[in-house]
Amino acid sequence: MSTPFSTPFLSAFLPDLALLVLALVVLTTEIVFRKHQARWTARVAVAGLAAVLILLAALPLPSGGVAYAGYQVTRSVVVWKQLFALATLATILLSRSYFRNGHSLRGALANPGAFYGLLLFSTTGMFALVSARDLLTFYIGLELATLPLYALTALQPRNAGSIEAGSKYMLMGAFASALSLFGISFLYGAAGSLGFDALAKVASAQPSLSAQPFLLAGVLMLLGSLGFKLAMVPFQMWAPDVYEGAPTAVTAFLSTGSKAAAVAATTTLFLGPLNLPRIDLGAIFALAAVLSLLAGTLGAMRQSNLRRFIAYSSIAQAGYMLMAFTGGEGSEAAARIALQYNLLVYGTASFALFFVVSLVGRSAPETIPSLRGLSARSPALAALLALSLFSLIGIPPLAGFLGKFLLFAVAARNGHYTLIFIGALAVALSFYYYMRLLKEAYQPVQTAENRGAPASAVPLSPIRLSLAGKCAAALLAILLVVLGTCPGMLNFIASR
Amino acid sequence: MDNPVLLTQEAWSSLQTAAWAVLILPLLSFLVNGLWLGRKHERAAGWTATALLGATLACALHVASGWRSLVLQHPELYPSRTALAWEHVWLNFGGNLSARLGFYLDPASVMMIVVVSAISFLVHFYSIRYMKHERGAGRFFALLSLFTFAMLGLIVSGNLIQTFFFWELVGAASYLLIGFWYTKPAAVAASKKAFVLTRFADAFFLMGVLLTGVNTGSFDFLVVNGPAAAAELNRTLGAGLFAFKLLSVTTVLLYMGAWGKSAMFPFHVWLPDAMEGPTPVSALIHSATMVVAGVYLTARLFPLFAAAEHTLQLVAFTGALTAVFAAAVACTQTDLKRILAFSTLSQLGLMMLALGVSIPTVANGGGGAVTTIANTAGYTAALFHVFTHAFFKSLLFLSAGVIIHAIHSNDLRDAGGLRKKMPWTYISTLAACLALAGLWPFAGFFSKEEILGAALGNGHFTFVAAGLLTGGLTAFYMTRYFVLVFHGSARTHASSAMNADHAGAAHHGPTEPLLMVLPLIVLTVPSVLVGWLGRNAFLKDMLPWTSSATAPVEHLEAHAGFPWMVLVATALALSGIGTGLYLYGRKRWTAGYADDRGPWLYRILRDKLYVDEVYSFLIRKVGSRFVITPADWAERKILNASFDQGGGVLNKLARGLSRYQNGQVQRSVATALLGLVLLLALYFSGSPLPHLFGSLK
Amino acid sequence: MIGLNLANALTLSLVLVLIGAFGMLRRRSLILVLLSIEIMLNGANLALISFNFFLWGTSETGHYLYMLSIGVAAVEAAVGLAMVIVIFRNTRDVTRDRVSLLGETKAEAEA
Repeated sequence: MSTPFSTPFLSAFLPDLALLVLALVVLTTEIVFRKHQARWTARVAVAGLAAVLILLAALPLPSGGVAYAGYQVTRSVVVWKQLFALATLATILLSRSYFRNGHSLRGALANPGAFYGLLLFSTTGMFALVSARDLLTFYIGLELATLPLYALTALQPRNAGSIEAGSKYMLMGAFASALSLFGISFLYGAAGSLGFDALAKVASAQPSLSAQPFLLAGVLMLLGSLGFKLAMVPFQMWAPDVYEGAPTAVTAFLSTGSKAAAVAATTTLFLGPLNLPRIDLGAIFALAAVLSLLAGTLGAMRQSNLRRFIAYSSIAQAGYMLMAFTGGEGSEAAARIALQYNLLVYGTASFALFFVVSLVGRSAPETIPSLRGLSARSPALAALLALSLFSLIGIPPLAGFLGKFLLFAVAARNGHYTLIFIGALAVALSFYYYMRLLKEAYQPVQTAENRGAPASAVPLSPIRLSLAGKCAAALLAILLVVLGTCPGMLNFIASR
Repeated sequence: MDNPVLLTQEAWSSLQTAAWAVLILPLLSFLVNGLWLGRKHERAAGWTATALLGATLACALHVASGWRSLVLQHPELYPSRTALAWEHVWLNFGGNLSARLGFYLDPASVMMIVVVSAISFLVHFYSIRYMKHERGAGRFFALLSLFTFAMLGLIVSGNLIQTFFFWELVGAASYLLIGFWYTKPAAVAASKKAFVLTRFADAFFLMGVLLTGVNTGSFDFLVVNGPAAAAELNRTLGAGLFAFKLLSVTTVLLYMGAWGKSAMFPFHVWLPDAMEGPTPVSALIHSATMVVAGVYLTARLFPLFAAAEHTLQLVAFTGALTAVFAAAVACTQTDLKRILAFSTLSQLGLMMLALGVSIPTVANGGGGAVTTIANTAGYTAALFHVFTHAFFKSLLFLSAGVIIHAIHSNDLRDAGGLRKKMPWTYISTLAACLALAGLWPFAGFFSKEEILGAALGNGHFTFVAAGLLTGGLTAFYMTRYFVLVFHGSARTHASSAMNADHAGAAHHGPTEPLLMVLPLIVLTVPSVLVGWLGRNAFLKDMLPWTSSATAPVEHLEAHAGFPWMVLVATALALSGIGTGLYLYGRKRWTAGYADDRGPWLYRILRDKLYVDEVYSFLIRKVGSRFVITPADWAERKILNASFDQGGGVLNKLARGLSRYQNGQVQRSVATALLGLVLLLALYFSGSPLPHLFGSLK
Repeated sequence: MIGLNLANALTLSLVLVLIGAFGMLRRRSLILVLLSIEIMLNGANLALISFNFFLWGTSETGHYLYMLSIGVAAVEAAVGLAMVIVIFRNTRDVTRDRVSLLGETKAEAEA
């Protein structure tokens, strides 16, 4: 416990404060630069986020971390925050073209200031979420991270899909929020305090868990509400609809940043104070992982809408990540590293995918058939798509391979071989559905199959990338390879 | 200069440099062709890739000679003939577990890097001409080099993680190469099938890798193969009906990976379909390199497998089954490349069989004690056969490529009477066929003899019989292949047009392009000679790793030959050839088997060697009805169909799920509530159901 | 005679949560669905203060969280009502049918 405004205190909390200030500044920028608001809010947001990232990377942190009241910062928390900030940064870069001239069939986004501001508020909520040291901070962080996303999803009010997705997301989110509050109240009843320390004491002290019905009920309800955010079966059903309806940039953030936050929150609780060795939570996670893998795989197999496809793929990916929670005692550090690495890798691959989707979506509906002929329209984009899909499948030397391997290794620590086997099978099957995209992309446009198809369904104009677009594509491609082949580099960055 | 230590150090560093180069040059070829040359300068791509692969071969040879002078000739320093050229920590798992990237040198890996880089070099060279008129030749060379890189990385890996990494990369490269003609639906389907089936097997392999790592605390072969690791794994899990030995389970899981990759029955269905890829790919991947990766892995983990109770029996059994089954099916095929594919399967089966029979039937005590390896004749024989088979089988595929290139057909029935037009191909194919049939003095004779000797020496009589039967069938179908392709008369328009005049030649270029025939001629030499030349070196040095060196003398003694075995095997091979000649050696090819007249030679064969009569009766009546037809039927109806059925079931499930997901909020809420209530009910009732996926410890 | 004790308070809160959940499942009007969510949240809040009052009377942590959660519920209601207003503007209708258009069947029809 350190006193407020001492040096370690400041260096630990400065990034969070900076982010909060940034969010407010971006909201006001809209008013100051009325004329060029889109450009300037984006610039301010990017510069600010870069500064936050630098602060996160550069500020020293005592080896034990810093804690004050309901807030704590440890090394692993900093890594989570870096992940969130990166996801937000990538989302902002991806969404810039949306504001420039409405690069989408659905029309332009309104209110860049509100868009970036809400995004940054959501990120602030994520920061609070992973820094939580009691359930109060946790709950507020969770809500702050999620509430702006409802509004972001509904940010194309003229589009029925967007508003429907927004309301669905909001309704399901509110349901989950009520569930988590109910769960938290039971945990409070069991522990008499909202602090994680007290909770951990109660969770580990009692001889038998059935003697503690409040604790068990609270844990299960909280797990359910986090299941919503994770899109874990059986709480996943909102995901395809919301992913389909939201603007592409928001979908990208939902499947990367928001997913990372959900995983981080689950890590904070279930690899933290609620890591209960006596109640075999690993079994629940294993069951949920298997079901999520099944639902994701089956859903993705017959999907033709790209965003829904991505939603199912992200449900399956959540299934893999749930495996990290089955490792049992002593596997917390390994699980955390595996999850963080996986989210980084999955985020990179997802952004590569969304990058391609957003470019294809400029002139065609975002469906799998629209990808046809991509290799002819832009070989570089098709190659990026291939890399990203291979990484999602987990083919070496791309990063996805190592990510999955690490997750499986965590599950192996506790002897979950059935689970690993099912996971490996899901990898084999995932090949089928991911390859459908690639098959379309590399299909020549004129084949016997589609000769009868209407010409409008087959956009043929070459896709030209701007310089920034080329750089982004190259960066993503390099990341996908380098993250997989030189994972030791991450150690170097994270260890500071 | 005169200081021997200094000299050794110099030699070591040059060995290390060469070892780096062996991996980097193919990778460089992939990058250069994939990123730059392949798109614009396809011709240059072929030559560049070939040149780089030539350099790889040179480096591999340098590594081999360096290893020979530094390691092999200093048994006092390296009692187990094993060294690490270099090693780097790739990833730290915390604790003692780390994944390392290394260059592991032992007799098997040195042999394999030379073979793989040599064959890969020749295939690259051959492809320059073969892919000349293909679109995307640059991509082809890039992928071929990527495959070579992956294969070399797999061979030299000194631990299971690196093995698994490259194992998957090899699979991915193979997928891309089989599906090279991605506009052809059959090729796409075949590549998917290959990938998914091997991935399915890899799921087991991954479990085995993790089990090994978690239980022994290391992924290194040097540790895993040691007695301590086997002792660590040698415990019983579960109880009653579900009790099983962890060691057996682990080794079987590891073997499952090899099972899929080496296409052992019933995972073999992907290999014949994989022939949809370009022929050079078949020559490189599906004969000499990737498919033997499974054999190689089994050999790599041989000491661990040998310590397990029943694993080697399983290896031998699957090997024998595949050998006989595939040889029988090969007799019925009419596609040139599919015959060769089934022949490959059969030979892979023989290699597995050889590995499996390395332990005497009775000497394996099982129980708690870890068996010391006394007689490893089978190990030596398997790797010897990997060595010889690589040459003559890739030769067969490459010559099939020349034939297909000339007659524009894969079908045996379209070939015929090509002997005059393609003298070089004729001679080289003849050598390869005789080598495959196992006739003295061709390469296959020696390795087959070793395999049979090993099986016999350890008392596995059933497996000896399986090996002999396979040998006879092999000789038969290779004769059929050879005779139908080169002898008789042209049977269809394609080949007769080519035989009739030179107009066709003018259209299609020479029937035997020099650039394609050259590798054939080069490969003919080892197909004839390596068996005879390599035998003693293999017997002396090709031994599995043990923590203490086995005395080579004892090892050699175990190889005291069985002269009658040689005679029996040769007689069977000859009778197979005789039957083939008798049935197919006519000027006119008929679909049926029997026709009474024939050239005088065959009549003599028929009259004098009554064994042929028996044999042909066996083939025609008994074999056809009870072995070949059922095998063929099972192949088509059960194995391939079940693979397709699996997809259908998944599709139905997917449809059900999407019908359930109707986009209404209340359904989502209801599902979630139901899930939550079930969860609460399960936990509060203390039901064991949630532990269904619990841990196995 | 029903006394005011923890068991009864918890039962009441559970009943409120279930009423809310049932309302989410049954109500067609989006406004009533939002109301149902508020009822659920209030049920949870009731549990929170009951625990504080009956079990852990010495501290007030539960009350703090209760206060904050009222704020959160207000924000949720605001976002929800804003969406309902937009839906009403677009379609002149605020029943749940307006938000059941995205789904698998439609996606398949598109394909």
